[in-house]
Amino acid sequence: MEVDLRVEIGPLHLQNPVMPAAGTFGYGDEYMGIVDPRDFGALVTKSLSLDPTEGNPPPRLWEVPGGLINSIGLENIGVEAFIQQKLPFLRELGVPLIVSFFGQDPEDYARCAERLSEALGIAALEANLSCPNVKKGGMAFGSDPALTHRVVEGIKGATDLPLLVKLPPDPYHALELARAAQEAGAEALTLVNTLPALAVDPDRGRPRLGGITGGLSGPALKPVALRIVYQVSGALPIPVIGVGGIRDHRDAIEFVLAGATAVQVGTATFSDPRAIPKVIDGLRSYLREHGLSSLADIRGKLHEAQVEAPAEG
Amino acid sequence: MLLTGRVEAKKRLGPYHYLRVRLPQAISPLEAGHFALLETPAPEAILLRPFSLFDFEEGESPWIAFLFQRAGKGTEALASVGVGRQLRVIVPLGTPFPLPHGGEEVLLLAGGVGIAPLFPLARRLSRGGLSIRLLWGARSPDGLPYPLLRSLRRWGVEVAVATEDGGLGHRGLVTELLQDQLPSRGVLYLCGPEGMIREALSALPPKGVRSFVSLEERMACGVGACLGCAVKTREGYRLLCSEGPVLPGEVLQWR
Repeated sequence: MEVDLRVEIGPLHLQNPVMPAAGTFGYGDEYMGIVDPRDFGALVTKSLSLDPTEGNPPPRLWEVPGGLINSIGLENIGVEAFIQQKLPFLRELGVPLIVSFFGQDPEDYARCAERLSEALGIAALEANLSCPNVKKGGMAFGSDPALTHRVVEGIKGATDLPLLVKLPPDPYHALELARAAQEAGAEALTLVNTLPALAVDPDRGRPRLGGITGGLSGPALKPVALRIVYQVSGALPIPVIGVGGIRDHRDAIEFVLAGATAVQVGTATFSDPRAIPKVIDGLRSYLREHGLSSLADIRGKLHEAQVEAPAEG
Repeated sequence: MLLTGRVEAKKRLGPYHYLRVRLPQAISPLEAGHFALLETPAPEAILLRPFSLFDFEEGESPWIAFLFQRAGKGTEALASVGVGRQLRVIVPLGTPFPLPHGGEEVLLLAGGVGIAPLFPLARRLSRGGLSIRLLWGARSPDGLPYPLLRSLRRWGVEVAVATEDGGLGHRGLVTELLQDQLPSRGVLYLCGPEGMIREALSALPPKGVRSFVSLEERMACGVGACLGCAVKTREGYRLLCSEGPVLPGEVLQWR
């Protein structure tokens, strides 16, 4: 049977539903020669801000059982340098480009989106409303539904590009936040960002990370992410891109069953740079083996089961 | 390049572990200072681990070798990995040691397992006809494995050693040997613990001696994508994977 991996996320048409998670694939050119991003469904950049951001002091990484805690601090070269230095190459690649970005306040988010939409070659924007590693431009926006609404509304007023909104893994407020983003005009939600975390060195009595706290990614995050994807996609019509601990196509299928339209692969790329193409190939094989023509056949299938969504906490 | 290598040989060298990985195909030129990201067979491991190339063979049946000591779950798993085991490896990564200019004296300074990236550099430079001096320190004589000393001397490298327990060579820190050995015009290559690097760099004359340090930091992608391996320098953060692991001593800034 012919299988079809193409998906539509609002106005975005992708050849397959697998893309890197923001921040794990740089600006798209670093992995050239190791893995070819032209095979991806889309390419998602590192989060950009209007001005360059220096990032957090090292150490910035700490591995824990089942996961990785990072405290990069949204280091980036800034929108202008991105447009001048990185975008020409990315445009030539021909893979749909999703640019992740953040701001210091709602106006800053809007200005950043406006500047990015003046550039050619960007298929969509992903607003990072949930980075745990910066005081502003992150968690503060994505953990308050009213502020989420305000930020997203401001961005939508500043750009015509399709907008993905990336939210934190807050199991108690996920639905409110998702609803706020949807009502403010987001075309899709990326669920979820890393989980705020801390690692301590008991011998030296110090945090393991220079930024003290960080964000947990990797397999440990997967069940939390799945549950949020399940909850949000069961309640709202907005397309969901599932992300959190996906290592192989079976993990990706779990997210599709929970209701995700597409998935992002992050930390797994560090362990195997070919994780994304392997997930894509694996999805194709899975569909064939199960006699399915597309992922739409199983999307959100969990919601058909007689499982009541838990009450909002 | 992302490859699947196969563990071909392993042995203990004093407190260190030597691991040789056969590569399935020829790869671009390897140089001293390059590093590889290597899969570790630790079931809990998320990240590949960065190791300097300690030795390598190019050509039709290439291999790379590492020298490491146990420092955590990853290196513990690698220390007990079986011969024949297949491991994912990305190599070559990073920027190698810059070579000396004509007329510069060459001095190498290694602390313990910090000999790893300097070993192929010593071979390369001595085979290039340069006279090389190496200062190598360890806590005790077993940290200066004889087979390595023998290889270095066979290449014509003039080796002076120091041990903290006085069991071999100078009794004390290797940096204490530096005072008498520093050239007035030359280049110092170094790798070792932070204390050694700081001490050595502070002993350099204000002019005339260039220095290049091979550094270590926790790392994820290895190619400059994740920005995880930043170190603070006088010129802002630098990524050890793509802008290092070898950095000029004068840009380093310690926390």
